[in-house]
Amino acid sequence: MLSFNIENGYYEAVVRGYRKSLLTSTDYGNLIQCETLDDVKLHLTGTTYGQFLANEPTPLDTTVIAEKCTEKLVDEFNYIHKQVVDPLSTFLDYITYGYMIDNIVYLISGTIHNSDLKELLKNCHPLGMFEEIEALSVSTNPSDLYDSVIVDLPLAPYFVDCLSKEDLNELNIEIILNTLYKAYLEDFYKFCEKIGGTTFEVMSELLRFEADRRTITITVNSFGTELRKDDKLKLFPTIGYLYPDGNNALAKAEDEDGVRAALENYNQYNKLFEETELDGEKSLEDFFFEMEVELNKASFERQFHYGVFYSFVKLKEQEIRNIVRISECISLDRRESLNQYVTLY
Amino acid sequence: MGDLLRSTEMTLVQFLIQHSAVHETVHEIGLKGIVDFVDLNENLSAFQRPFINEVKRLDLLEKKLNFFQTSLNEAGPLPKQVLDFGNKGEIALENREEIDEIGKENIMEVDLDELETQLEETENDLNELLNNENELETQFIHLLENKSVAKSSGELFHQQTNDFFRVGSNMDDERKPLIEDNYGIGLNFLSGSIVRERIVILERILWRSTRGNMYLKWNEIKKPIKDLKTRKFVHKVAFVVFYQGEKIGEKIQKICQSLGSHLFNISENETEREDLINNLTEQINGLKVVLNKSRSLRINSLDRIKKILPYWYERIKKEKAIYNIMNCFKDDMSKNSLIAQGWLPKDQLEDLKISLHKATESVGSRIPTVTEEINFLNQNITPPTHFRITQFQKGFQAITESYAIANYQEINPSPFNIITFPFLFAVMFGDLGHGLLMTIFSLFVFKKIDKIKKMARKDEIVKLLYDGRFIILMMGLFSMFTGLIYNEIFAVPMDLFGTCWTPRKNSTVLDLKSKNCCYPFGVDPSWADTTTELLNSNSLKMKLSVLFGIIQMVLGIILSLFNHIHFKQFLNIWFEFIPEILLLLSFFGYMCFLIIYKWLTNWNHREGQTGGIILITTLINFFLKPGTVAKDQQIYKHQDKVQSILAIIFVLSIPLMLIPKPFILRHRWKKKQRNKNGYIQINGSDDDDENGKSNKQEEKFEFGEVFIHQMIHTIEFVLGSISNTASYLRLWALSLAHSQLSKVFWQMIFLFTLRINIPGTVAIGFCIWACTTFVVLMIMESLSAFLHALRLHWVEFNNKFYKGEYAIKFVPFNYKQIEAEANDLRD
Repeated sequence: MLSFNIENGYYEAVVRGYRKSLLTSTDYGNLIQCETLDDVKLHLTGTTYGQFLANEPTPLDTTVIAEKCTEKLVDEFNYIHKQVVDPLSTFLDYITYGYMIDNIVYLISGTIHNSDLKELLKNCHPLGMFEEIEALSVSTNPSDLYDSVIVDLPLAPYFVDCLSKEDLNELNIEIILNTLYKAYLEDFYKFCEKIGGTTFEVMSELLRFEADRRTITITVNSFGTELRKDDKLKLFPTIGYLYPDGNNALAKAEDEDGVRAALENYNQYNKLFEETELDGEKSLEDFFFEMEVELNKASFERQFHYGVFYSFVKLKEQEIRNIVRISECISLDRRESLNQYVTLY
Repeated sequence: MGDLLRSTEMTLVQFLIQHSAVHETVHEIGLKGIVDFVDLNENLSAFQRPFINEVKRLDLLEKKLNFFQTSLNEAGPLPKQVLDFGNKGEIALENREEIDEIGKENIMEVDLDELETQLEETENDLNELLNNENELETQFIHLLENKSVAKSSGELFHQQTNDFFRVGSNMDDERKPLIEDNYGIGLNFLSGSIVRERIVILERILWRSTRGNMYLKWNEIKKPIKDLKTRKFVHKVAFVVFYQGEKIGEKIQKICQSLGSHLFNISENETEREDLINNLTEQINGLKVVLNKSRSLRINSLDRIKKILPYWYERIKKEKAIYNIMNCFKDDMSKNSLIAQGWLPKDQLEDLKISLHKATESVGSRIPTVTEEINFLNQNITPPTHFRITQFQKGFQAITESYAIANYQEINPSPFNIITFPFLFAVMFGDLGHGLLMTIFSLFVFKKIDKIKKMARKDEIVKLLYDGRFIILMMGLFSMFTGLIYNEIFAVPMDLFGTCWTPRKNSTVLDLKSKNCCYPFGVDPSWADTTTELLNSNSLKMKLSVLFGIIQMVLGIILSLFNHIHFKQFLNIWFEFIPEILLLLSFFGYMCFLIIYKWLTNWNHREGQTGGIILITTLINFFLKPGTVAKDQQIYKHQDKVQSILAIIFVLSIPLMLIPKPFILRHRWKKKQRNKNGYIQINGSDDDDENGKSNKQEEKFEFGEVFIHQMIHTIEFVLGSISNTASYLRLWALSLAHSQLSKVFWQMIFLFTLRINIPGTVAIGFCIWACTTFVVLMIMESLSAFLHALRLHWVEFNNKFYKGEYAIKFVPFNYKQIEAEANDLRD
């Protein structure tokens, strides 16, 4: 802890500065009063986003706003990423792996639906880009994918489990995604354990939550599919609070009641279903987002650890989601759902 | 000094402007630049304001201008060219001519709608030209790439044949026949080009996905090829992939394309290839001519745009400024007109009325703009502070304002700073030579003022130089003066009037030439070489700095008196000003008196004087043994009585400062409360005349708080009078450091090299001396002296009278900034 500031003090300060620039509830209050997307732009001009939309042609499109906001996040992230030294740089690498997985899976599933490669690439998250990404579209089965592209990526070890799959259909892609994610989360967890100290304390909480979120989401999404219990269990990350009992119980669950029963003993999650049922407007996803925001905000309360970098990216991502959601509601004129955003600060 | 000493009297004016005349009115006022508008819509967010649509529209127009600017930047410096265009070119030319005619002066007058169509037309034209050119260029680059690939594939085929023979001979027996069989029969190839950095990735992926069943050769294309998306030149390589089998071929093709390479159909046959190359060359040459034509067309149109662009920018920015101001206005009840509020100097009301009249007349509105002065005195609004200053005062005002902006109508320290600041600086920096260098430097700045003004907009350090040019000049001149007093030019004394001392024969002792000899100006040069030089100058400089300090602080306290009188705070005169001045003068003023008295007395003629008088002892005993003075330390008659009276005054002034004021305030408040409770006040404003400002405070009067506040003030002043006086000793310290440093440089570097009898060393010695003088003395020393002078003014002088809290600076709406920017663009 004493020597933390020698190498990382400046970057921690920078990232805390970034956090200060996140939109506040007053900003959101102003945003939801906007009539058109131009108003949104005008309002964002008054925040740290500044002139980021100044040279975009009107009428604005939500995708443009999303793209530009993400660009800002990427700029800020890269500013730090390019300067830091190990182990913080590896830690930041780990953050990008998540996006890499998303991109890979997105691209593969896009290819099997014969979508335009350029269009697909445009939609990929810039944090998860790598040089060979375009070549992904050529391959038709997992081993081929592994051989031609993935073997070179840091993700390669995660992919080993997927090699047994014969071809790329939708179910398999979903399974690949979850297997990759599981391996990724576990590896990230191990890495944080290696760093230890406050970083591990903070990150373990965040990663365990992330793992549980995936477990629950997989369970809910697997209703009515042909996935068997063992298959499901293989997809569940083994680092969460739910492991192992909760995982087992969830693997057995076949409907919402089953899930609720499985989660009964877990304080932090059993409220989820109660609230989603009471409040029809909010989905399970939204509640997870809210929990995530709370956890990430909490990580800023502690000092001398790497968790703030992870948390900042997650918070900023949530902010972008908020802005995009608000913009979408405005452009589609669905005023009634305007306040479905997660306030950060 | 009027305007200089106190900020201009302001008045708050409310306008009632007809909708039709608003724009013109704001424009006219902007031309004059005399009104600081108040934002009446503070609670509205940006997009709820009345004229936001106009601002948005102007944003769009500005975006168009930005587009022109970026196209201009991309085109780089425009070559002057006169070319014969085809028919199309002439049409395009005519369009431009029209704009040129409307251009310049008219751009400022033309209707906004018309301007919008103009800009749109120009944008469309330019876009068309750009698109045409882009299309042509894409073709052109494609052909170029094709040609380069064809050329280098030829070379690669050559190599490849050789390679295969070599590779083949090394193969082991099992695989050998396989290759021989396929060679020339089933071996297919693809050729294309790719960015240099990506060839490695391509090769790796191809190798992996074909499990090594391919052979890739590549060759760098010499000339960099333009990437149309990023408009940068990139290095590319031409490659040829050899493979067998249709299926792998498809795959390879797919991979190549997905990695962004361009594939070309190139024949294996050499003659066919040559034909292709020739064919391509022809096409390229043809296209080149067309491309050049379209390029010069674009450049011509850009050239025209370049000329008008600054005017467009100026116009759009002015419009935007106007609408931004109009966004601060509120609708009145009837919705026919807008309400605006703004501050302006009281004596410019007439100017304003003329502008308003002009504006309504030019719009043809029958209903004139109504103005009404609002009485702001009782509304707890602070008027903005506005000084009408000249270029000369600007720098000094900036020094004051970086400390704090003066309260409305408060005495402004900067007119005094004009003299005291350079003077205190010069006390620390006193040397005729160094002062002369500084003066010459500032005169140089004045000579190149136009150039430096331009540079100042971009470079912050040059801006400091530009803004502070008069300060530097004054500092230089004053340093020359103090240098003369100290009698030092680059640490060497000058014997201008004939020294009064002659050396005694065969001795180091100096004798006075005649009994009443006195060096007429400054320090006698003979002092410089004596062993007691430092003792003498230290005593002189130390006493001088204390004298200057006390004088400046007394000036500050007297200025506070003027402030109290101006704001009619008579309580403060009795219980703040009077005790303060008594306290300072009774002890520190007396010290100054003693110093001067001691200087003026000829001690050689005093009888019964054995040792010297030590002022320090006298001053210590002033407090420790009041009323007694040792016989041999007596300076004048009745010294003991005078001192005891002064000591009593000093002590009494402290409680006078501390106690009465809070009690009187409490008494007044109580009286007011009683009045309120007893009967309804008929003339309630009576109580306010003393302390208009404290109106609000009196509503809630907390005696403890007021008393503590007064206590802090008292302690601060009493302690401050000692520490501030001591603080002025920095004048002496820095002056000593300066003269000693310059002496060291002179004697140890320059004179030292003179003593070494080797030719050439003098030159070297001079160079080193000049460099150290410049870097250490002219830059570092001057900066430190500047900083110390700054501190003496900000802390020691200003805290005696200058409040500078809660003040707002007067920022009138005008076009100066916009015009300056436009001028920059034009250059």
